[in-house]
Amino acid sequence: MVKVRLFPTLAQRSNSGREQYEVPYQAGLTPGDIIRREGFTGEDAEYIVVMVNNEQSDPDRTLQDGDQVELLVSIQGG
Amino acid sequence: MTTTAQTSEYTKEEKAFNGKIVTVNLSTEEIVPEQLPEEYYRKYIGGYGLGARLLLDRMPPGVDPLGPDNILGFFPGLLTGTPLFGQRFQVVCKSPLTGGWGDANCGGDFGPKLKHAGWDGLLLVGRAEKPVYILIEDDQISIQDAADLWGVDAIEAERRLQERHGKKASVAVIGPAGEKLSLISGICNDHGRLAARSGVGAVMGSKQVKAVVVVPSRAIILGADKEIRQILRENLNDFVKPLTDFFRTFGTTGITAASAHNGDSPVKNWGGVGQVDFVEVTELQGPVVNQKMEKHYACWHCPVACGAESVESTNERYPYPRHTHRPEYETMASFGTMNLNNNLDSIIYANHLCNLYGFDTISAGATISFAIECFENGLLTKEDTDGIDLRWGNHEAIIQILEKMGKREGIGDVLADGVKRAAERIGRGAEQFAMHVDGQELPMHDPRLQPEYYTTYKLDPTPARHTQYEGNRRWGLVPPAPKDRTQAEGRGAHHKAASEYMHVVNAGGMCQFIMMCANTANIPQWINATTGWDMTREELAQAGERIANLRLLFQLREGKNPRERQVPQRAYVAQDTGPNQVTLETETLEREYLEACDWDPATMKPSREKLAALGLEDLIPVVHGA
Repeated sequence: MVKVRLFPTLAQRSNSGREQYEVPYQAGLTPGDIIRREGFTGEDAEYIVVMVNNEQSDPDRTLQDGDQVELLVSIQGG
Repeated sequence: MTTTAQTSEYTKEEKAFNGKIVTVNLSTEEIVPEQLPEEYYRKYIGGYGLGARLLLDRMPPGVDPLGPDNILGFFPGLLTGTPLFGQRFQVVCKSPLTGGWGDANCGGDFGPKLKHAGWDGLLLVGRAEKPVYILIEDDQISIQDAADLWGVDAIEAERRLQERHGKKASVAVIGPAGEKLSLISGICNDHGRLAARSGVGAVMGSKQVKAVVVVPSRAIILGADKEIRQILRENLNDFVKPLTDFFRTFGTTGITAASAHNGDSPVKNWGGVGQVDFVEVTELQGPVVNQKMEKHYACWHCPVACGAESVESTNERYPYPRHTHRPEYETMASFGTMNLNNNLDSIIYANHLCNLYGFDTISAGATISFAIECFENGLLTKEDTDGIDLRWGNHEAIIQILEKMGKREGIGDVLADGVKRAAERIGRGAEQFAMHVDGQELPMHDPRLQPEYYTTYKLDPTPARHTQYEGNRRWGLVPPAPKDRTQAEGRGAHHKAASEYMHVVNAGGMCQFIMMCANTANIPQWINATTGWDMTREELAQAGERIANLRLLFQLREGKNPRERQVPQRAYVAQDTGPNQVTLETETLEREYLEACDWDPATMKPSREKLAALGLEDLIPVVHGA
C-alpha cells in the first residue's frame, strides 16, 4: 500500500475530497499519477510539491510499496 | 497646525500614476510639490524604483542615516490604488541597520490612499524640532503637533489619529521602538502591517515624525472603467486555484509546520534540525492557528485575502486583543522554530507586541534566538537578564525579553538594535551566534533548500531579504533553475531574471503572493491598461534590471561592496543530519550571478556598457569616475 496525504485546501478541491487515504501499490506508480487522479492538471499541478517519506521528490519518481506520499502547496517567500 | 501648503495646478489623474510627488522639509517646514516626467515611470516604474532614482539624485553619499540629511521616502507602486492588483508601497532611505541602501515593502491601505490623494511619492527631509505628524488631505498638506502621540504604541496612535481625522484616514506610524531609534524597527499601518526591514522605523523616529496621515477624497483609480473591470474578471478566472485556496484559508502561516521539518525553516538559531530538535510542531499547524482566528483580513482591494484576525485571547499570560493579525510565516518561524517554541498563544502575542512597539518580527524573533543561544552558552547570565531564564522553548522568557526590547530596558537595550550590535556589546565571542548579513538578521528560508537565497541574502543591496528572488514560471522570462539543489552551475541567468521579475512586482506595487496565484504574463496588460502605454514584458524586465542597478549604485556609492559581506556558515554548510546535508558552492553561485548581471566579480561595479544600455549614462561617474 502507499499512504497518501493531501494538504487540507488541496483535499477540498480534489476528486477524492479526502485528506488521508491509502492506494494499493502497483509497479510503476508515481506521485504524478496520484496528482492526475485527483484532478490536478496544468498550472494547478505545477504548484503542488511532492514529499515522499518526508523528503521533497520529483512527481515522476517511481514509488515503492509502503511509501508515504504527501502533497503540499508550493509557495516561496512568506 | 504649524504649516500648511496648497499645491498649485493640482489635479488627480485617472490613471496609474499622478505624475507628482511632494517633499516635506521638517527643518524648514517647507512643503514642495513637484511634477515628475512620465519618462520616470516608464524607466523606474514606481515604488522603490522611483525612490532609488530620486535618492541617488538628491542625497549625497556618507550622510548619517539617523541624521537630518537622510531622506525617508514613501512610494506607492505603479498599480497601487487601481483595481488591477496593486496594494503595496515601499519605504526607502539609507539604512541605519546596514549603512547602505535601505527599503521595506508593505501592504495594508496606506499606499493606495497616498496615491488616491494625488501623490506618487512623499519625501521627508531634515528633522523636526519636536514630535510631529504629516497630514495629507489631497492637496492640503500640513505638519501637525504630535506631542500627545509620542510614546503611544502604534496601534493606539493609529486609532487616535483615525478618531481625529475620520475612519477613511490611513496612518503610517511608528511605535516606541522607532521613537527609541531601534535599528530593527519598522513603520506600521492598518494596525499591524509593517514596512519592517532595513531599520526604516528608526529613520522616521530620528526625524521626530510619529506618523503620516492620508485622507484622500477619492476611493479608487479607474474603479468604474469597463475595460479595467473586464480585465480584472478575466484575470481572476485565471488564478491558480490550489494556491488561491491555500492563501485564503491559511495565509503564509499555513506552511509553518511543514517548513519546520522539510528544511526550509531555520531551527534553533540556524543550529538545529527540525526533525531532531523541534519534533513537536502541533500548535504551528494552519488549522490549529485558524481556531484562534475569527475573520479574514485583506489588504486594500486584495482578491486573495491571505490575512486573518484573531478572537480575543483567553490566555491570561498572553492577552492579545480581538482582531490581532494572524502571524505570517516569517513571524511563526522567527518566534517559533527559531526558538523551539510550540506555544501558539505566545507567538500571536509576540506578533501583537511587535505591532505595538513597531518591531520587524523577523529581526526581533531572530535576535531573541541569538540571546537564548548566548544564555545557553554562558555569555549571558540571569544577572544580565534581570533573572529571566532565557532557555530554548521558554515562551514566557521570550515575551519578557521582547517587552524589554520594546522599552530598551536592561538587556532589552542591548538587543533592540539587532544581533550584530548586540554581539558587539556582549563580546566574548557572541558574534558566532549572530545570524546576520551586514547587520540585518537572516529571514526564515534556508538557502540549502533553495540555493538562490544564499546569493540574494549576500548580494542584494538590502542583505538577508527573502523577497528579492522568486522563480515565477508564468511570467515567462525566467529560465528554469537546475532541479538538483546541489548543483551550483547554471543558476546565474535564472537568478538575474527572477530578481528582475521581483523588481517589477515590487515597484509595480503588486503583492508577491497574489502574483503566485495570477497569470503574471499579463502584467504588461494591467500596466498598459492603467497608463495608456504599450510596454512589453521585455521592456518591463529591463526596467526591473534598471532598478537592480540603481539600488546597487546607491549601495556602492556608500563604499559598501556586497561581495565583501559574510553569510553565516550555518546558512550554507551541510548539517550532520536532516534534510540539509548539503554544502553550497557559494563561489560558483555568486560568480555566475554577477556575470549574468554584468557586474564586476570583485567590486560589483556595473560596467559602463551595462549602465549605458539601461539609459543610466548619467550615473556612470558614480562608480567609474568622471
